[in-house]
Amino acid sequence: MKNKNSSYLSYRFLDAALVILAFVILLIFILAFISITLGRYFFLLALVFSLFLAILYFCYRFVYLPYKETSKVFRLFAKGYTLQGIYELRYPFSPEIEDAIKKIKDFINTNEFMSTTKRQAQYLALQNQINPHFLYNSLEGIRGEAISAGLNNVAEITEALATFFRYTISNVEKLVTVEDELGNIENYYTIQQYRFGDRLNLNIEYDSEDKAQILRYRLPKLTLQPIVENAIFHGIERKMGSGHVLIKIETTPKRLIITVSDDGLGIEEDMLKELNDKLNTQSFESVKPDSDKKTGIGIINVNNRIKLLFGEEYGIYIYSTVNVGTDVEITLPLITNEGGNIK
Amino acid sequence: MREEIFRLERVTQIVGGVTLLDDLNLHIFKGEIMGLVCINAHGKEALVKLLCQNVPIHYGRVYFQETLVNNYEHSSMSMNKVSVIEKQSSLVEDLTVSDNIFIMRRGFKKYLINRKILNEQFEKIAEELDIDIDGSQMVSNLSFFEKCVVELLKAVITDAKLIVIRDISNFISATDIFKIHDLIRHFSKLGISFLYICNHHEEAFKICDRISLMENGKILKILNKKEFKDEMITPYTLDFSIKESSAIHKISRNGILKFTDVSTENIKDMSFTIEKGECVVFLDMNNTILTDIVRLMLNEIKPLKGRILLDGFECTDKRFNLKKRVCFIQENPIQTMLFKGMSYIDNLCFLLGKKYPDIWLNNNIKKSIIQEYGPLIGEDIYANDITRIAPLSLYNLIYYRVHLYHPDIVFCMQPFSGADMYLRHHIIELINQLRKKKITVVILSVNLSDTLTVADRLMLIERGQLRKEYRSEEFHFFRANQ
Repeated sequence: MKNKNSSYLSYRFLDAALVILAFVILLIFILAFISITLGRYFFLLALVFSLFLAILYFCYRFVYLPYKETSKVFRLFAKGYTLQGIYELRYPFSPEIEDAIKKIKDFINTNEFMSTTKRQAQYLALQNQINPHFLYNSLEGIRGEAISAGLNNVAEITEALATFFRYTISNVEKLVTVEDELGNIENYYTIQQYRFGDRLNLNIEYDSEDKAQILRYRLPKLTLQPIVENAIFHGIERKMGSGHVLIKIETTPKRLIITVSDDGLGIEEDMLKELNDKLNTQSFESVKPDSDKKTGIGIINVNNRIKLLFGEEYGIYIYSTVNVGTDVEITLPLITNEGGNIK
Repeated sequence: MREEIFRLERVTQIVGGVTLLDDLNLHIFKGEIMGLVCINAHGKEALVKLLCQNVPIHYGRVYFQETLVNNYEHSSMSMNKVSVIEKQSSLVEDLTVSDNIFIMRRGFKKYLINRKILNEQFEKIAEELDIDIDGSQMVSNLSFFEKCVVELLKAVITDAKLIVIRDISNFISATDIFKIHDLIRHFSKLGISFLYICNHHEEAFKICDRISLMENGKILKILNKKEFKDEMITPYTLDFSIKESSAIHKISRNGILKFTDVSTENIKDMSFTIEKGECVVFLDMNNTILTDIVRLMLNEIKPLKGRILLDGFECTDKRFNLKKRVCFIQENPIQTMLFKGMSYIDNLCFLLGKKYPDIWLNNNIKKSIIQEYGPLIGEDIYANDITRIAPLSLYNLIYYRVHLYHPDIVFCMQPFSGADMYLRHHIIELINQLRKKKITVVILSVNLSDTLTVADRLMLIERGQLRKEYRSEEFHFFRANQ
């Protein structure tokens, strides 16, 4: 329940300021009255009045405007638009509040760490059950059998599957090169082609002549695969006829922009708005185990990872129109070394 | 690697409770011609303003030349190096071209100005770019096209990094547009970026490298050059194929309007016949004769030679009351043709007052008009203050006013100028309403816009002469040649 306005200190300060202001104006009026009556002290009156205006301007410029800016950041934080904003306030309310925010940041990070550790533990347990080496060896075995039986198709899909699992399971926290990530996507496409056949087409475009340089830039591992998976399963799978997935890579001096486009069914307007809102307001809904809505969780996870790693100015935005297709735009910092730019 | 000149990231701008820009993303590369096709006009003005100046935003970030210049936390109100070229020229009319380009700019500090040097400098640039404008000429004597070229040069000289070209096809003829496009391409190759705002994707296809589609202050789709196809745009546009072409009523063999070898200062030996109920488009490729046609029909000028017959009567004959039989709908009519102090119904009856002066005293006539037009116009017909009415309804007022007056012929000056897609669609419906009432519609235009969706015939005018005539079944030939 919200408190009454009078219980907020900011309102009390404002009231006090208004009372002082009214008192000063009254004093100036009295001074003006005395000056006019006596016909003297006009210079003093002008001086006091100028001083008053200067103080008013000073308060507006250096107190009111910064106050407005800070309270706007808090308002946007409360609505979920920004998280980083309150850590980087230009004008904190007081040293105590600044310290309190720092403490909250630590709490959030600890919580994050704990939940990551928990997920890590679950993942390790799962990994132990699967035992990657056991999985790779088994798949290699199947592949060998398939080759000796002359079943080349089975051999190829088994190889693709083994490579895909090896890439997906190992060192998820790493930054990988665009080349590795695209290699994984091509592998994933090979696997999906066994199911979709000619219905599914994948193209990769580079918006620059310097393709070799682009391939060396780095991005978080498994950034593209969940998005391509969404494009195939939510866009193209339910569509009549063939579908196309296009990955376009552009670079600017500071950014790596990857757009994954499909000509599938597209997303309804309301759903798109909801999804883009979630991508903008840092939500941890995707990590809640009891979350009902599963749509776009892969994309939200990728977005959260990008924002946590590189900051709020990076992330994902979706353009989509029903029966036309979807464009997922991923904006990342331009990183050449493995550990670069991580916050 | 391409340098980004502008980057708007998730920009939301709310003014007076209205969301003008909604989660808008837009990035423009150096030397790129980015198109902006607005499905409706919502947010267009706010976007242009935001590009020019770092005004407060509710949320988002704006980067100019890779530097953060505006964000939701702090807006400095500083200006960006952006120039806007639009119909409302920013040039000083009473100064010369070279004064406007070289002197009227920020940072110019010389006290003694040598006009000769400035003119020579301008001549050099003009020669390089093959521009036929005299630097010592007053801006007030220039045509819209020439002003546009001067503004473009001024923007380049003032080191603008982004030039916003806004709806220029509304006021520049088709031939001149090509020249402007050539200049835009030339400067884009030199690294200047352009944001080309227009209402028609066909226009944007010809010049842009990429196109953003905007509706309600939100970018719906970004099209790359490979996607410049009509079918890519169709899902975002309204269906304009609602033509009702049954309205041609060839009652008079001489036609309702007949020009025989008419010449004026700008028109050269023009002959044509327009039938009753027909809709004819005059496309003036050089923007030279439209004013003369209007002045001839208003009897403000007489033809140097030739005859003009309206329904068989000589228009120049003083006994013939031409003004009662002809109506005009001007360009941007809601700005120029309405009386803001009058109620909706009084505005609607305004023309009818010419035929029946008693209408202002007889409320019964007004009541019967309300009864007839109420179902077409809706509740707005009862409005006393028309300044609070939506533009769509004001267009109803303009066109139904003519509908009610029932002239023989109505001349529409650039009816689709500045109108967004919804409004253009609505104007087409309104023109069809006029045609249903057997009113002949003549559309005078310098660009094609959506005129062919209502037209029965297209008259192509070049350098004051009727160059070619296309019937509706031949329109595809014309489109193919465009």
